Amino acid sequence: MKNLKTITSKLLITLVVLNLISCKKKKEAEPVVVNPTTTGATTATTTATTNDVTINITNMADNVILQIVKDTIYKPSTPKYISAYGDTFSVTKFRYYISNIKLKKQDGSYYTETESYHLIDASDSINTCKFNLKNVPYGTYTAIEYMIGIDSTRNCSGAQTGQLDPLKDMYWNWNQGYIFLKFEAYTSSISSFGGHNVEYHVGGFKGTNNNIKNVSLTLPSNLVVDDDHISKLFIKANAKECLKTPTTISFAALPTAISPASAKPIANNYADMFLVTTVIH
Amino acid sequence: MRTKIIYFFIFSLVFIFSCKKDTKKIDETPQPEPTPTANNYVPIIPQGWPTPSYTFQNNPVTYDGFTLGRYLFYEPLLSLDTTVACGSCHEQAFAFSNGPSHTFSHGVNDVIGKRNSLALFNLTWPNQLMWDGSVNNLENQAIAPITNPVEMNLNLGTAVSRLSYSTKYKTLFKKAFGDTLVTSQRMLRAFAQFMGLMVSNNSKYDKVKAGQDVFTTSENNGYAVFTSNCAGCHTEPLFSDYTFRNKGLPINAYQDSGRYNITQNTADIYKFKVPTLRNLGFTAPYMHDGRFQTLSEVIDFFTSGVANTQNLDPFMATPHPITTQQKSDLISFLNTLNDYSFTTNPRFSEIH
Repeated sequence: MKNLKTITSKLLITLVVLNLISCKKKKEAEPVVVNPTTTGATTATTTATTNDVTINITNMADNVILQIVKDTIYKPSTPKYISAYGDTFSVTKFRYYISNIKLKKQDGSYYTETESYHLIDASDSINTCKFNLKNVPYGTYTAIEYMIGIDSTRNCSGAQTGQLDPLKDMYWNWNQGYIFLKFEAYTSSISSFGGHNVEYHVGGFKGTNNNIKNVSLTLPSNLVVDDDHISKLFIKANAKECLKTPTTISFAALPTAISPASAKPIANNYADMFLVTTVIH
Repeated sequence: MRTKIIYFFIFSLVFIFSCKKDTKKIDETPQPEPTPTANNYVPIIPQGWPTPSYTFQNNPVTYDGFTLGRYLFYEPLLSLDTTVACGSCHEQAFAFSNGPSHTFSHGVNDVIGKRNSLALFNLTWPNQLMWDGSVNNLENQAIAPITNPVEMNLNLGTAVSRLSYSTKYKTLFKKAFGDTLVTSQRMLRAFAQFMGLMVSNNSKYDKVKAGQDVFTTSENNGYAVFTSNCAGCHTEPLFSDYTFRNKGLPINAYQDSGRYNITQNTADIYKFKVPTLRNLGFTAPYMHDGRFQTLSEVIDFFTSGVANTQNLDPFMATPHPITTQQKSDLISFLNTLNDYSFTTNPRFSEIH
């Protein structure tokens, strides 16, 4: 009997302890108490020495704003462009990555954007063509540099998220790596496949089929970053550059280019499609 | 007194369970083996092996991450018509190859591919995966078969959305990553945790190297034959140097140009990755197109069947004859590379 009593009392204690433990999770984490005088002091002495810079990209077809069409039938209202070769066409898709953005200061030093990967989509300019470079140090900048495409390191760094999520539909599954640029169109010309669709997917970061293009643009006037207000860079991207200089592209001869080697001429063509038009402070 | 105690006991139990909402709610929660100690799930680098190219740097392995990967590996939801899982063509009993009855594997709608399913193990060492090296990081490996029209033929976005609608996977993702959000990155990293831990290093060969076993005379002689004829490409201890070579197979009806499809460099036409020789006893048929059913046929090809095709490897350009005795010894040695503990390890077995 005495034994039973000790057992039950032990059981009781165990249960009480269990009760306490079982609900422990509900407790909110204790807020961290910070000494107000010390934090106050640091905030007061820290003065901002950086500001944001807005990049604003406008996709063009030469001198007019590029329009992306959804359906692939010509209507009287369908915007039509004439290529350097002479093909009439409308654009159904124009999207590309720019990455590793740097701003060059007057003294030759650089501001480098961290995690610098931007997918630009001409069919969604509101959400993709305007973004801010964060924490640019005060100073006077004379040039902007970036890549069209994704650097080879990140191409080989495994599963990515955000702008580089393969669900963004800019990833080759069969020859793994990012698609740097997609240019899709339909044309009144008849291709060697007998169709009217044009599809150029440019990627490739290895060896002779490296299609990463480095862009370096001198600004038309100095970009001043200070505490006054956010400065803006306006850049134009001319989609028609994909089709001219150095290689004039004929849709009939090249209806598709969807591998690193075959898309090489397109990459060489668009390497100079960007132009900084305005700097606003 | 005793009744009071009993009441208190019952009350306490009710109270305890009432606080356990999170785990109680989900009926579909899979119940795998009890959580083993964490150190069972750290990636291992066997002694004397080179540094792996995939290091789990941004993807620390946990039991729950590994287990999620294991469920995903056996998940037919990841194929268009929900009939094919990774494990359908990569079966553990065959060291995660497709077994002797499949020269080529069946995808959805009974579509047949043109390459033999590779065995899956020691996958963190090569820096390029697949027969043609089309995959450059273990984390992205799973994208290829899931989206390939002749394999699982499912859009990656659909795969992610199917998982995100599943109560079972919400639970598994929460356990592995802290919340129920399903992303392509999380899915792919879980796959990499499961596949990356598939290390096979417990063959008789390994035991001999560790001084725990000895080769028979025949195996020992076979080792010498291997060293002078095969080890140039099938480098120890992984038994592959993971380069791409044309070993001189007569061109098959598919005209598969291999590595060239990836590099578009004509010097790569007909080149395929040197496969590992580990677990050969489980992985027949052999070669990228599964054209040989037995090791004997493979050795006959190397000694007397090499065709002088474009980009033939210089080593293969000269004949390498061996005697019947040497051939038999070589086969004895090759069979010391079979790791039965790997093909029966319960942690990699099918789970649903």
